[in-house]
Amino acid sequence: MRLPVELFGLARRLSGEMEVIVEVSDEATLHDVVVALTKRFPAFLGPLVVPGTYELEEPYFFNYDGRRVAKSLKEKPKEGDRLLLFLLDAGG
Amino acid sequence: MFAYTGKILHVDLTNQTARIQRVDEDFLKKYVGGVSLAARLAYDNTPKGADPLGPENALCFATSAFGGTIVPVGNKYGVAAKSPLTGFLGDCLSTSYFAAVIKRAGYDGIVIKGKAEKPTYVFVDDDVVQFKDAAHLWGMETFQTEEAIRGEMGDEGVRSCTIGPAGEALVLFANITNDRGRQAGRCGLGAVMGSKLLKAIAVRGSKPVEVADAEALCAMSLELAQTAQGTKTEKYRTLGTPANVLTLNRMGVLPTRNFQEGVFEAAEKVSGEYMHEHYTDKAVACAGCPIACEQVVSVKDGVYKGARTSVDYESLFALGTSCGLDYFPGIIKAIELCDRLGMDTMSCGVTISWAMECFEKGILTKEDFDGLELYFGNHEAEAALVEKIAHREGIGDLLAEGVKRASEKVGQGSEHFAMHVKGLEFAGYDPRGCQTFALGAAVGTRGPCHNRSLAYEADTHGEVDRFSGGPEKGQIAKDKEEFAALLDTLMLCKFIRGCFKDLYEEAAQLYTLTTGIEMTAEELKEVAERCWNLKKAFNIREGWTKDDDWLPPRFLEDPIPAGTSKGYVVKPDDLRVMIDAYYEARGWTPEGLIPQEKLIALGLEDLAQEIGV
Repeated sequence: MRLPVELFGLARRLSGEMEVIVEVSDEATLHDVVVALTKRFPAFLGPLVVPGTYELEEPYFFNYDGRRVAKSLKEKPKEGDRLLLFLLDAGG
Repeated sequence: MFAYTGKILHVDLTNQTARIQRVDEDFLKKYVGGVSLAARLAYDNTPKGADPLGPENALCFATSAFGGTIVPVGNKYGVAAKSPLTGFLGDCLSTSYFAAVIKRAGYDGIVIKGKAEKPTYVFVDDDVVQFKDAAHLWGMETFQTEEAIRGEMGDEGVRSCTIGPAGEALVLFANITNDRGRQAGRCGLGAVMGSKLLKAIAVRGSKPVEVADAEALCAMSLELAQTAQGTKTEKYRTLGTPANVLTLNRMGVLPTRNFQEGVFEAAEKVSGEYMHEHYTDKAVACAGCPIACEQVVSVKDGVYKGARTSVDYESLFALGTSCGLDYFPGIIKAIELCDRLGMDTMSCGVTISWAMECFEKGILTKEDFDGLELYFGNHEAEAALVEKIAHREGIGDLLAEGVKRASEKVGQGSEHFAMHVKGLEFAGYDPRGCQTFALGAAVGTRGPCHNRSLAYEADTHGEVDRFSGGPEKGQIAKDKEEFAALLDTLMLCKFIRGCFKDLYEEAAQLYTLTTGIEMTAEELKEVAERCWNLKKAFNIREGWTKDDDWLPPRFLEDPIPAGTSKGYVVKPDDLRVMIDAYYEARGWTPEGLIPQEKLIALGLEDLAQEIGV
């Protein structure tokens, strides 16, 4: 399936893209999406994606269309889902 | 005693005297420092019912155990007084060298009371306190004042906190500025200084700060600093908190045109990403900080060429999207003006966005605004209005009172969209799509503050369904408040919070290594809970009632019109359920008052007699 992934912050800066389409199998997990993104944008490895495990670095997470946060990279997105890769923190 | 000095400096501006109050280890362990210690000093030194702009209101600064030590991001100070904006406790914090020099001068806290006969600044030179004429500084902007004092002293090591013209003019959201751009921003404590004719507090500290176990503390601090230079804080270094603009916009909770909308059509043009590409010069760090979050930006050309300031998300939303501005240089200019003139960007921006809505609805006219066409997006009018507010010129005199009082005076339904709680203007998260934050904002002791509540994290990080209210949110809001209160008490910057595996455990270790005072995670939890109850007790003494814990009508009645939060309001019944659950989680009465036994259990026996039920 083809999943649109919107990129924000560091992900956008490292990729130079606001949005990409990721092609993964119909059984793919979000972890597979991370692997696919990293293959396309090797610069993600380190700052955004943990080398070796391909987990997202802790502050970053997936959100489904701005409505729901993915609880785990084991989740399986569905055809038609729109993913957002971002983080959100404030304070000081 | 390690790290602490055991001394609180009391300064009386009326009589131009100073004295030392000795405090012991038990007292310091109980209140630790920062906002907690400042709140305790304010409670003890400000009489019930004091005029916030009168000489009796005590302005109380407090450092923490970590000030002046190697502990990363620990150079912060808390400052508290009765807020002229809310009439309740105004507790703020700020960062950098000024915090360190207070400790090096030999003080855990400074309490300022009274009122000077003429413009004055206080120079704390280690053990010597001098009252110096500030006539030549009166009228100066914040940064100018700091530089002028340093120039007079001929010593780069002298650090000052100052007020600008807004503080002198008693603008109710005037701030206190130190280290060129660090601010104790909210609640109008700059006006408290102005009311005392106190232009600045300058400090020179030359004493060493000794810690209990230097070797172990260095090792732990180094590890923490290394983590804090890694990926967990990368966002702050590269884009700063302005990165939140696009994410909040995508979630439909970016305050737009005075919270009429949650999506800004021009968000890309005012985003952190856009700022980084076009305006960012460098990232700057506070004293002892390995993160370096402050994004210094400048305008290279155009009408605002030369404008230079640092930009964070809250300033950006308040003077940007909330005012409908899609022209980044205009936002930079407005923030720069606020910083130089000494005003809280958040309160100023939200007040101006209310005024813009009044203009667009015809409640206030061009004539009311001294000829300014104050439509949303008019950056030139916004910049002009910022200056008018700071000097209380024309319509600025009304707006300098903050949005609560301004809307009460103007009436005509404008109270409906006066976006404040307890008189403090709202933070940049629309609670209709962040309903845990709706609760946090309603019950916050100083008003609707993301920094005191942190409840927005539960919404934005998916810990809860952000679109609905429910009783489970009571405990969550309490826990988030106490997490924040602990950081504000230890005086650790919140940007390092993600670098701890277990904040309470590791902070207890850091504290013990620094002070030699045994502290456990459980005891720190109690410190945080005590801090929150102390702040609430101050408010109760000043007449707080349950009605003060509520939200502006817009959030309860006007659905968000578009975006991913479209259609949502905070249902009043849900808000009531959440508030009731929150009071219960806190061990308070259904009326939100604190039982005597609760205060006694927290070691606040003296308060139990005064405000307990």
